[in-house]
Amino acid sequence: MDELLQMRGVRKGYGGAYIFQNLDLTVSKGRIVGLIGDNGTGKTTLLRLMAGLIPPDDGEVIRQESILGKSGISYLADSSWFYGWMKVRDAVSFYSNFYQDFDVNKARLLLQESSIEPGKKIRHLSAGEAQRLCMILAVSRKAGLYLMDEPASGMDPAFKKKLKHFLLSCLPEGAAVIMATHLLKDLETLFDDVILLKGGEALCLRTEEIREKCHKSVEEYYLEVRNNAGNA
Amino acid sequence: MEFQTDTPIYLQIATDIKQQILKGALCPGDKLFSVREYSILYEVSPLTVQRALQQLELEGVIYARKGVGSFVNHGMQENLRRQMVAVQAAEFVARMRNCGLTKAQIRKLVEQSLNEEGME
Amino acid sequence: MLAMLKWEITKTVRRLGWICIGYLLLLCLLWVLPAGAGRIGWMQPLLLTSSTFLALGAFAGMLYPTWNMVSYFSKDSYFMERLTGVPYWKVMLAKLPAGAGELLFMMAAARAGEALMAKFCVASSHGYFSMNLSASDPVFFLEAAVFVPVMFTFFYLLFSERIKSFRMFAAFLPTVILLTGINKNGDFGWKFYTGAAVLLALMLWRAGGIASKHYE
Repeated sequence: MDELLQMRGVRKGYGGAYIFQNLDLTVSKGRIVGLIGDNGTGKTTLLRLMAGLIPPDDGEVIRQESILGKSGISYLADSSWFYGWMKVRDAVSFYSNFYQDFDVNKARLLLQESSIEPGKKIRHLSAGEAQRLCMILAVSRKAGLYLMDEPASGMDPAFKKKLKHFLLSCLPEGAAVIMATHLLKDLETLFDDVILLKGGEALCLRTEEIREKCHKSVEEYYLEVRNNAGNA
Repeated sequence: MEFQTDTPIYLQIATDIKQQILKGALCPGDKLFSVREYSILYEVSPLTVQRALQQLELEGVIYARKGVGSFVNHGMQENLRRQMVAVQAAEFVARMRNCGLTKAQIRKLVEQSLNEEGME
Repeated sequence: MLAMLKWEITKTVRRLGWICIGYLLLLCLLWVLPAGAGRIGWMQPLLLTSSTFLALGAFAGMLYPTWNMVSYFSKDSYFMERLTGVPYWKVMLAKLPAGAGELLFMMAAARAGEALMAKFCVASSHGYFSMNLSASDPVFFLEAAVFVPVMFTFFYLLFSERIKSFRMFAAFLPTVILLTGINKNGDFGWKFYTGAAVLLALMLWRAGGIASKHYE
């Protein structure tokens, strides 16, 4: 069984408008997937549905517990979620407390390498440091699936360049990743597959297929698809 | 390494490793890096690296020993050289064609260049 | 479950830690002051402020267990609470002891404050801070730590299906009515407690159902 997660007939809307009407999607083991779409197409919603942070209005989200383990989905938190009184070390002990698969030593080491002080309050960190903290917490978990919503946003340009290296060296072997991003140009070499969102539909493609058959970069292909949707 | 994103990346990695063998950076019998190491080096997904190594194995450039790793094969350098040279030549001709040159013109160009080089 | 409990206690301690220390310092101060201070003119504002602080603290302390339960649904703590993937009912159950612990501290501190302030009372002046509860201390504790939080949460969620904007206030009303009814008619025997336990469990379960379906 290679499927970690399945979405069947998922419907989700806000305030009367539906983002997804009837979404079918499968997430396979060990593949790094880019989730691409313009703002408002539902990237964040889709990730949250996958993680179980929000329930679907209709349809089902099936998680393969046997492969994923009890809470085998690591969702990249946003630094704004942490309570005002929390320090960096509070966030570390939060993760360590709730997740059996959390490697405290790995987290502490990575924090040290990033020069993030454990005693500092999270809301006193710079935007780049806060984002790095969340990233470190997420990758220090040994999960089957990692969900990241625009991980590069808010990061210092210096770290953005090292992002691919960071992820590839910190994520455990065989990890599946779904990353929502609009930085296709920089990150497309990382992705095995892409999910292109347009008009409430999800188009799943292998990146090598796009390159082999269409002789285009994934970025070019996406722009074409996106513009066609606009003209249709 | 900068990749061209409109052709399959695994092929570009395979070519890069072949060039390393030709240049002598990798010798017959040498052990290649692990999939994970290459993935971090090239900044691509591990599956892409796996595919590249599979391609090299298919072409007989490397062989894999389960549990140990991948190794450079013996005796395929000459083949590799011929292969790479042929690819280069084909690319050159194609580019010259794109510039609008005829067969005769391309031959003349090559002769000129050889004379300048002073090669035999 | 244990992890959730530990987290709820940590949250409570970190949120209220400084206030509790301040409270204790105030109590120490009141203890140290001689009884005669009540007669010194310039001490009056200080004593009145202390009195107010004790009163406000007691009032807020009474509501904290309820607020803690309902904070699960606030936009600020929404994701933090859900990130762990712990089911709703376990979260609620973990919140009760944390709130109860806080309430215990508050009640003990309030009673201590009451006793300490009493020594400043002079026949001619008005009384300072004193806590008069509608029920005996243990019963009050049970109500504020368990009954009210559960009932309020239940009504809060019940109304969230219809009236989104005023549910805080809307939930307050039936809770108060129920509570008054209990205090007037409850015999507080074992039958009462069994019945109450069943009712509260049902409310918690039903609230959980509503929360998982509708809540954003």
